[in-house]
Amino acid sequence: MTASADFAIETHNLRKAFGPQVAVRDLSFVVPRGEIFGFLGPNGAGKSTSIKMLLGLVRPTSGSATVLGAPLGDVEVRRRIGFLPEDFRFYEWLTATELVRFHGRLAGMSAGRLRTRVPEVIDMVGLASHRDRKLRGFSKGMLQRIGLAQAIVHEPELVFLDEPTSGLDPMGRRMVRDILRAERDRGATVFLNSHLLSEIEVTCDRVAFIKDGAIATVRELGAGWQDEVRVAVRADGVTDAAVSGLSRWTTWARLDGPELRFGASSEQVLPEVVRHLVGAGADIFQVTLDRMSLEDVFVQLVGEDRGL
Amino acid sequence: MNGVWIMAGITWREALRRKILWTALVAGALLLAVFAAAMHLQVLEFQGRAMSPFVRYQVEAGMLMIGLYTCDLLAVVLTILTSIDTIAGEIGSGTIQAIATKPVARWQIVLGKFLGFVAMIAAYVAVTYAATIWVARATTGVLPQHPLLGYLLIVFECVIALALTFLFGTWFSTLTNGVLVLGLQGVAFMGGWLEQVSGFSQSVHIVTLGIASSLLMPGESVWRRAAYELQTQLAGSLSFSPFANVSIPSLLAMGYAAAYLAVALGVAVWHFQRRDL
Amino acid sequence: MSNANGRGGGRSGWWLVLIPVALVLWTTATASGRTLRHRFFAALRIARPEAVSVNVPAFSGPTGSRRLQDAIASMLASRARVTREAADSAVPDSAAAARLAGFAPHLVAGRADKPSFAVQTPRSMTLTVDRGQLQTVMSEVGQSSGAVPAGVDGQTLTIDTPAAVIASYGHCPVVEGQTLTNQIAQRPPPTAESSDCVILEQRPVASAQAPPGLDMAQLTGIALEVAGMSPVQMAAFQRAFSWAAALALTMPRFMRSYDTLSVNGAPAMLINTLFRRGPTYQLLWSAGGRVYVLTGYGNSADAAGLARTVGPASVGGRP
Repeated sequence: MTASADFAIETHNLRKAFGPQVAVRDLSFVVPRGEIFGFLGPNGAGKSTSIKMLLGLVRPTSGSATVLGAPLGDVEVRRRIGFLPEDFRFYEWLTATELVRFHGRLAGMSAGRLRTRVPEVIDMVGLASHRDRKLRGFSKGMLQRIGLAQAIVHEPELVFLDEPTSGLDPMGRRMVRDILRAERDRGATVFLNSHLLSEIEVTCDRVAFIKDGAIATVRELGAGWQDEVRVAVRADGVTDAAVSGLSRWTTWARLDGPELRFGASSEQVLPEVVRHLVGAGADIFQVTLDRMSLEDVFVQLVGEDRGL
Repeated sequence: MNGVWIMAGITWREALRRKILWTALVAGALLLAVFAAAMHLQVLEFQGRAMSPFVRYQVEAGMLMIGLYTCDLLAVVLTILTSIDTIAGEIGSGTIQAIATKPVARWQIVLGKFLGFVAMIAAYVAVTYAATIWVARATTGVLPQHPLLGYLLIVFECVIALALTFLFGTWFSTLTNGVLVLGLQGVAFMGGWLEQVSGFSQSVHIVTLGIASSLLMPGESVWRRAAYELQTQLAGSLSFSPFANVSIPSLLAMGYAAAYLAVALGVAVWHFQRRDL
Repeated sequence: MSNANGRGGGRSGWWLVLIPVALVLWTTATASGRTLRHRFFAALRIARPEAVSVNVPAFSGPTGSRRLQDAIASMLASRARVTREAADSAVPDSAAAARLAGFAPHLVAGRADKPSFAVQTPRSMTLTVDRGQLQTVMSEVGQSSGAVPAGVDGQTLTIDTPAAVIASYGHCPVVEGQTLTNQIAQRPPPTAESSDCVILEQRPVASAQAPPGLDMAQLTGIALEVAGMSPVQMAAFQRAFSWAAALALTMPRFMRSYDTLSVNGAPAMLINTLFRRGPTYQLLWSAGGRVYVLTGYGNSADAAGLARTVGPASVGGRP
């Protein structure tokens, strides 16, 4: 498999059933190395089970997958993997430093490396002043931060994060985002499991939508990822001829009373469109750019009634 | 193998950090105080009595056995209470997920935790056991016959209960685990005493029932072997203490207990290895 | 939810339950299974010294008493073999008792009523001496263990107890054997009806073939201490009885007090028992190569008077 060198994760028809209940029906996707990969889906779609299968916590009923080139369940490859479980809970009688050191030791780090690395990560997640406090007194957000620290302490090549921003305030979310970007810039691949659409939208390079235990679609995010730009123009005196003349720049256009709506492939066309309309005698009061958000894609895929 | 030691270390540290071990030590100290008072009163009672030194020795040695038995019971209960939650609870809360995704085989996690608990129990029993013997020696001068063997057997009994909590912990919730292990321990306890009483009622059927229950859970039979080793041969054949040799487990029975322990731990590892977390 | 798995094994493994069920059925319902179970269960427990616990009940005799020779057996041997066990058999009269026992019994002339007779047949016991065990016992009793020579280890000791004649006067309770069940069933205590009961047991002294170096007198002394006597009482007892006489005796398990007195010139020991449902006293003495035990359910003050009337049966009544 030469392809696995380019992919951090590769799955083929993974399936997991708990008795008669099918949690994951058929999961096939690839995660390119060096990307932040979002895993998005409604509750009960099989996100957590999928992540557990990839980590070797849950055995798939059928199908196969490789993670960093190793088959599922391989113990040695876990040296290069980090994981922040959903709702991170740990021995609350440990201090923050002890906890991170324990996980570092489990990951096979040397004592010398731990001495410098542990304070460094704790600093990174913003808990420097709570380094020697017991976890018992930690808030949910603080636990989430220390969980993130243990996931990245051994500088893994692949980091799995299950709902990393739950319980965090806006500053915390921003910190997580910065850390994830830093990890990517270091060369790590990040697998982000979240139901927070805005979070994924600003962080991820690529997103997979999972629905009913299978991948519905995979999209690349980033600048200009959308298929089309929607524009609404409030104007007087727009003629039908002016509307039909727009077809040079737009994919569709519709006049709706005082409001003109159209779709275009890029926002680059807007000045031309405005010039054209003004030239055709229209008075323009307002031009609104309506980006299609991830939420729209999500709702489109899942259907309004399902909700989140 | 490194993972085993890391897990054993964290389990050991957990035992030291959590309150239960210290509470158990306080309970042990309390019992010891009662024991010391009883021994002292017995000595006072014997003073000024024309009593055979032999009988006196037997009564005092019998009291020492009662002290050591209390020590044994307390250790078994502590073992069960501290360990029922370690696997079932960490699976339930998800704590195990962050550990099981580290480069540590699952058998290493189970074995490491197991060894950590064994170290804790061995230390706890060493303290209470030595203290009991010391009290007996200081007040009356009696000493058990084979103290080291007795100590090892008591730890062995606790480790059997430990293997059971590990076994059921990989299948059931903490509560179910506790009910199962305490239930089995109860069966063993009752079987042991039925056999003991059978010496007086001379019922073969009760002995059979006692042996059958010691096959189901051999913990108490290990204690009765310990009692046999701790007392002099003669003390056993007289009925001065409730631990007289009525029906003494043989070496084969100890071998059975060891095999039972190995199978319980083996199945626990095997099941934890293949179950979903 | 994470607990909902591992089910696959449970579902396909239900038949595993059948194995123990089948095993239990086989070992209870079939003969071969039962034999195997008996053998296995027996192997799981240490076989106990036979003389002490198998052939002789832990409590024997109406006072829950214990043969002194069994106490010695448990002290110096881990294995004892009773080659011939004593058995009680009722006989119609004194002449029949004499024929069976091999000697003419003495009677209590102080009692006018006619006794009922029983004979206890002879008993033989062979022990293999365990020196280590004997030394432990001796050090427990506070005697120097150096007194046991190394040569006795593994040697055999044989104790032969001759037959005894038991003559019961008055309304004596029937002793069924002192198992726990019987003791419970025996309530209420037979005090009122049995107060006129007196039992005279007599037998020639026991003999023993002991390996050289084994001090039978010392062993008997230790056995007496084990039976609960203080060193002073033990010394008094040994003045009254030779070890051969002592070996033929049965010591009551629950003793309240001891008195030394004399019966027709022979030193005797009166033991007041502490046994609620049994006899109130036992008077032991030894004369003419025999040991006598007079057990009574009435007032112990009468014991010595009755004992002094014990003598050969004469045709004309009182001597």
